[in-house]
Amino acid sequence: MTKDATPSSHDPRDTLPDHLPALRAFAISLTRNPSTADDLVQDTIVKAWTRFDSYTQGTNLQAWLFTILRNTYFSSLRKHRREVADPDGIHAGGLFVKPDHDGKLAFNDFQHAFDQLSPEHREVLILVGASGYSVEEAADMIGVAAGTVKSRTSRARKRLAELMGLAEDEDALPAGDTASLAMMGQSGVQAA
Amino acid sequence: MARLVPSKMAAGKKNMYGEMANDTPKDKIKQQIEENLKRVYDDALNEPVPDRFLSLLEQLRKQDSKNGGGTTS
Repeated sequence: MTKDATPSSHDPRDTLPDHLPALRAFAISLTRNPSTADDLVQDTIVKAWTRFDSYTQGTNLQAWLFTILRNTYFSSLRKHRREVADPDGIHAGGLFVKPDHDGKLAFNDFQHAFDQLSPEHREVLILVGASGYSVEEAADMIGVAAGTVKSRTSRARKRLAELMGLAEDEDALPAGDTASLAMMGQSGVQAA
Repeated sequence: MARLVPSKMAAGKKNMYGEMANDTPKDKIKQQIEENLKRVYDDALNEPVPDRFLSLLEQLRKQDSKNGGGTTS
């Protein structure tokens, strides 16, 4: 009986099941469609398995898997987008959702707005915001500069706020508004 | 007015995703967005993983030991 020098328990492929929940969570967040997400996870598993020799032992396996998943998704999206005339316009001008008077966003409303973001925007928000990667790690995974991740993240957050009918950027208010409102208020009081 | 609050108040925080609540509306919105994003991700994370993925991994493992699995076993 020939036994390998490295026991099979040290095969990082054995830890793949541990990463399935995160892979699915990333896929669902990215695609917003459970069946597309599961197909994507399946493709990712097969790809990861067949190119496992390109994984560097000791590095973050989940980040490596996430990279395969997002590359798979965006390359299929690119193919698809060539056929679709206006991929980002489909949901453009969606419903504006106002927060309740207590200012809290209903989760359903948030999800609705999140669905309308571009996949690129969902990607940065989920990687950096929700799954806890650093800007630098996300930049490596996406294959762009850290500065790009930062600016994309802030644009995505702003777009999300817009979709929810919230003005995240206070500076977006016309400069004269506060003053003229105050004046109108004053004259209103006097007139009343 | 809120828009006159110096933006420096929001800067200098160690966490760019503002777990430390600030009082400006902008920070509140940001914080709520982060909370909701976390929930989108965590809800999906807590879903049970379909069996098909585990059987896929088993299948891949079997395939591997068939082709060039070498002298093991």
